[in-house]
Amino acid sequence: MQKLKRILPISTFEAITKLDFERLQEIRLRTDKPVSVLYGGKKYFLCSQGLTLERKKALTSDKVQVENALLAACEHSMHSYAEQMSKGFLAPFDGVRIGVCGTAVKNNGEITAFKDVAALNIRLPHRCKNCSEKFCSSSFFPHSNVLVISSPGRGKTTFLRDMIFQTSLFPKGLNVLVADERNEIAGMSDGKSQFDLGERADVITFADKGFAFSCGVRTMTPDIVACDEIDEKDLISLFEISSAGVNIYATMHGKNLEDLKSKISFEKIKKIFDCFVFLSDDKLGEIAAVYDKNLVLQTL
Amino acid sequence: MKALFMIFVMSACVYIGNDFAKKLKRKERLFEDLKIFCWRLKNSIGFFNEKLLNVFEKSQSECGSDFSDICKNCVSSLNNTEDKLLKKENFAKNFLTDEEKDTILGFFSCLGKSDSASQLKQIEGYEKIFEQKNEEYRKNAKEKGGLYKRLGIFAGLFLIVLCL
Repeated sequence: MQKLKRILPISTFEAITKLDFERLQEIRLRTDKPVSVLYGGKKYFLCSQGLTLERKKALTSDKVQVENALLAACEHSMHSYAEQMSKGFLAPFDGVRIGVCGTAVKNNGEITAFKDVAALNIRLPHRCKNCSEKFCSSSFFPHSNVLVISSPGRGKTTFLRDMIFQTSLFPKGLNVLVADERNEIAGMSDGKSQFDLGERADVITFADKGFAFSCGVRTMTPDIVACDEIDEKDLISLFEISSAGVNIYATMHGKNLEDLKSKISFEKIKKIFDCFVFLSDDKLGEIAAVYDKNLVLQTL
Repeated sequence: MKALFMIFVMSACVYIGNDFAKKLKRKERLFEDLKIFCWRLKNSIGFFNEKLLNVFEKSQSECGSDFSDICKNCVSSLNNTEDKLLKKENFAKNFLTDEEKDTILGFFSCLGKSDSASQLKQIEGYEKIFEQKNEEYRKNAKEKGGLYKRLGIFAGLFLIVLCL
């Protein structure tokens, strides 16, 4: 919370202190627009008393405040965050991820930075203790390739984080390699994870998944590889890992089984994963449905 | 009483002469520290991608008191996430000219706001200015420092003679 104080405009921070921090998921600062939050899964505007649905009462953030927030998040050291900025996000501390929107600056065809930053989406991670316990007591756990699917902001990473922790409770002791591309799963700071991932999790931070998979699997000999938000280009390396006898826990955007089936890469996904866990839109990290490899609905 | 007054006049003149000489030394030291800081920054930003806070914290113990004050102000600005690293009101070095103050404030205002390559270019530009200033004040301190001290003594003696 104190670290957030450094980033946010004073009025916004004071309004946030009136909220239950555990329920606060996102803070959005947009130039000359109301400050909005995702709170307990619902969208509100932020006003000096806390939350409001009325636009007129809402606090607004101006260009200078948005730019200062970005500069503060970078600790006045843009050069240290240049690579993250070129990918449109910042991971300043404790697993907090800040999405950056503005005009992309290209150099030799590649995006190198963002200028005229117009919006920041500050995503706050939370530990939802034992949210995956029900799934982890099923026969799918731990020796299956599991894909966790939900809409954005519905707790995929939180669920994955808890799954990683639950593996440490497994009597045989399984080594987990976490490919944490955006430092959201572990929130590494000074070589220490800000979230309890158990005793046997090794984290590779800010590396591409491809590198983490190829290098990490060879050097760390994991039993399980965990990664967040996979896409089409990750599937080949995931397939290779799964055929090498390593289990995979991964997450992906989607709402329901129809969404999953409609993906172009669905056939590839089906070849890799044994189990599909869909999360509920109503409660953070709550399981809505579990399907097996043949897409048959399972009861836990 | 007269003797006491003469001692006071003499001391005041010697003090003023020393003060002028000291200001030249302080200028020389400040620009020397700024020059060294530029080298350190180039290494920290260009090679280690280090954050500014770490660079200031490391620098503040290995320099003269004037630059140490600047570093402390910058560390405090970074910890309190103020929009400027070094504010004009926190930079009341009365031995510097307005132009020199603006140059130093300009240097600090460009830090941390772009990628490594752009910053290194800016730092190199300022480094040249600081080197020139440092050289200029080193010569001045050598040539004029002693002169100011002697002038102070002679002025004191002259006033005493006048009083007699």
